Amino acid sequence: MDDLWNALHNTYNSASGREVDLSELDPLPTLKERDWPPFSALELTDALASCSSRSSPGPDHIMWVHLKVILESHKAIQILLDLANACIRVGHWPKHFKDSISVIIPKPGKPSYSTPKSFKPIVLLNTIGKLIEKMISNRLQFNMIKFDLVHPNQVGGVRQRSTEDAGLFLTHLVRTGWAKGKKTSVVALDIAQFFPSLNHAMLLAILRKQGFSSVVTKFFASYLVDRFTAYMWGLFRSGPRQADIRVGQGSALSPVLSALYIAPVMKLYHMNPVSLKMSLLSFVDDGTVAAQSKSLDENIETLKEAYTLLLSLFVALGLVLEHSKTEYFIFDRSHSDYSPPLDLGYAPYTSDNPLKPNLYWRYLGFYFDRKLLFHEHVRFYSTKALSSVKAMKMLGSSTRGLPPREKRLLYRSCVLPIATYGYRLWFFDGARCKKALSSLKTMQRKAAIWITGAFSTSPTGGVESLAGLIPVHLHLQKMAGRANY
Amino acid sequence: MNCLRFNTWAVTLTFTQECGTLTSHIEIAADLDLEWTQPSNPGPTFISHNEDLRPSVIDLMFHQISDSARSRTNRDPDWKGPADHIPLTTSVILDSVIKGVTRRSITRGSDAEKAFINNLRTGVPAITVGTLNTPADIDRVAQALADVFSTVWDEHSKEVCITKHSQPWWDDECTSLLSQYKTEKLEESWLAFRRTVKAAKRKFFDSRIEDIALLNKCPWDLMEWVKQRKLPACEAI
Repeated sequence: MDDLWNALHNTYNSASGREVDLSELDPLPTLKERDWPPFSALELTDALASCSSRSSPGPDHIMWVHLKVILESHKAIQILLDLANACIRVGHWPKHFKDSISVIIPKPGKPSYSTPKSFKPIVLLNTIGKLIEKMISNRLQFNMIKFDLVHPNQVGGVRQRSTEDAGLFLTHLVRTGWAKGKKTSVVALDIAQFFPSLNHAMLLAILRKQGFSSVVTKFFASYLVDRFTAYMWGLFRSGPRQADIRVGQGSALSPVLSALYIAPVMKLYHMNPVSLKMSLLSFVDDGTVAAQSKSLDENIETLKEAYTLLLSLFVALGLVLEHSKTEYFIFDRSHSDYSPPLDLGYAPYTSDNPLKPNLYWRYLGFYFDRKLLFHEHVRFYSTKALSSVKAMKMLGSSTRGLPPREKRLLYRSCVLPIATYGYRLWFFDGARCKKALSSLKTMQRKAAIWITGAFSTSPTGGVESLAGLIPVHLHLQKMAGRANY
Repeated sequence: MNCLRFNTWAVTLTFTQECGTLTSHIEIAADLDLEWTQPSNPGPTFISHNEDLRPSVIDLMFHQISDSARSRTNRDPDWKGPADHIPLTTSVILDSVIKGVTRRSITRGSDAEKAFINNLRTGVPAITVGTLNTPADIDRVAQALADVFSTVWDEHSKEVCITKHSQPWWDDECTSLLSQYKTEKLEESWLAFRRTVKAAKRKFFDSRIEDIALLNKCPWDLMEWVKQRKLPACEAI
């Protein structure tokens, strides 16, 4: 058993001792230091209201439901506020909040589970500590948007920016390129063990650069060190171990801190002359470089140049790119299926084994195809929605179980958003999407029959209107109309 | 362990030199931390019904190397009966107590949980904060909070044993009726127990459905019910 804990511990702390180069940040301007006003009671209740009552409790066994009841009293709220404000003011994070349990969960869909890398640690922290972290994270989010700390092309871990924005940016780029007669090639990068690799010294330097108050930097210096975690695998549990180099996955601060960590890479990249020819897009740890030109061969040269530049930036930040997971894809609407292989120059994709584009490219949950038809994407999501409609059948039949009103609510709130994920990429004025719509129609028909309890051969339009559902194409039109402003 | 046939059944300590196959078997066993133990009364273990064939030794017994000194292996010709193999018996040392996996928990929606929440409600506001100007002060308040949580938890949680037979719908009534049946051994009490189980199941699943549909609105949770059963992470490897 000890061997297992050691193997896990070493994998998740593999980044310790990695060199970082703080001078790399010098070209960036240092922002003016901003104040950090004390937390208000509203911030605390807001942070608490957004917590799921079902999430797993940490080592203190207190669930959010319990905390919500406790914090009905003003006295308790005041105690927590005093504690949170004192933590920032004094620059100290109590030891009790630093203890955690890392539950080892298998990553779904791996062919083999023989290495620790096919498992991810989810950190369970003490509930009060988590609440304060949430409040801090909300503040940081606000700062990020208000003071423009992140590049517009950086999506993920940032409020008001979703994966759909990233997808739209990419499709827009490709389509405008086509209009100018340019073809687009993209390379997607993968950062190995992103969350555990964030370097503390670097993070503090970045926070200082970004104009956070010195008390906040001091607080984070205390927050990040001397952390202990116990690993848990099924019902087995190890003793506490020191886990310094990492922002734990599962803590509310980890997405924000990682977004702030990546921000300088984006800014430094856009200061480099290479960026004039290429666009860089990043979503937490998924980066994408897109090159555009009249010929695909020309794209390859620019891509290689950008890849080398990014690699040097990431290494300076103590991050490691996993070359084996790098993907390459071509957007081209001509009839030719010419796709030159990309010789990345890093193992395993060298001249003997160059990188070749696949039929589909899965990025942020979108299935991109060469001609941006999105048939595969819609097929995937309507199948997913259909399977959930079928699973919902066990919730009620025409005689027993849920009443139709609830069934409709369930369908509208839980199934439709899944089925229409990323619709803005393929549904717009003048788009040809007859094929995509037909598979969504089938799915909605099944749901309408389940809601009304009608016979299986009833006409689609009739059941839909009885169930109070808008036909799919009109529903999409409505949503697209609302999205434009 | 049914292993090999000898030409001679004069099994002595010298036979290992005679038979290469056995030596290789012993080596393989040694890789697995096992050791061959000779019966205390050596002799043939296979006597064919065909009287023309000679008896032979084809059954071998292996033990863990650490245990082999303590354990005794015996050949019991009296227990052979009509079979052609002679049974071998041995003693294996077991750990005195086999522990189940236990952990402390509070059942959701139980009286214990209500008392737990009530105690927290009075306990947390009673903490004295005072001035918070040094790291030690912060540690003190955080520790006070932690102490309240852990004492209340210890007071109300109880040890539960986790087995693969644990059912989510099982409730206290089922337990009492099952123990009643175990003492009385009457058919009526068995029927009463079955009725309660059925009612408990129906109550549990109805409340789950209501929960999912009206309260948290995630029918994705239900996918677990229809999906292919997955092995727990530690068994899947």
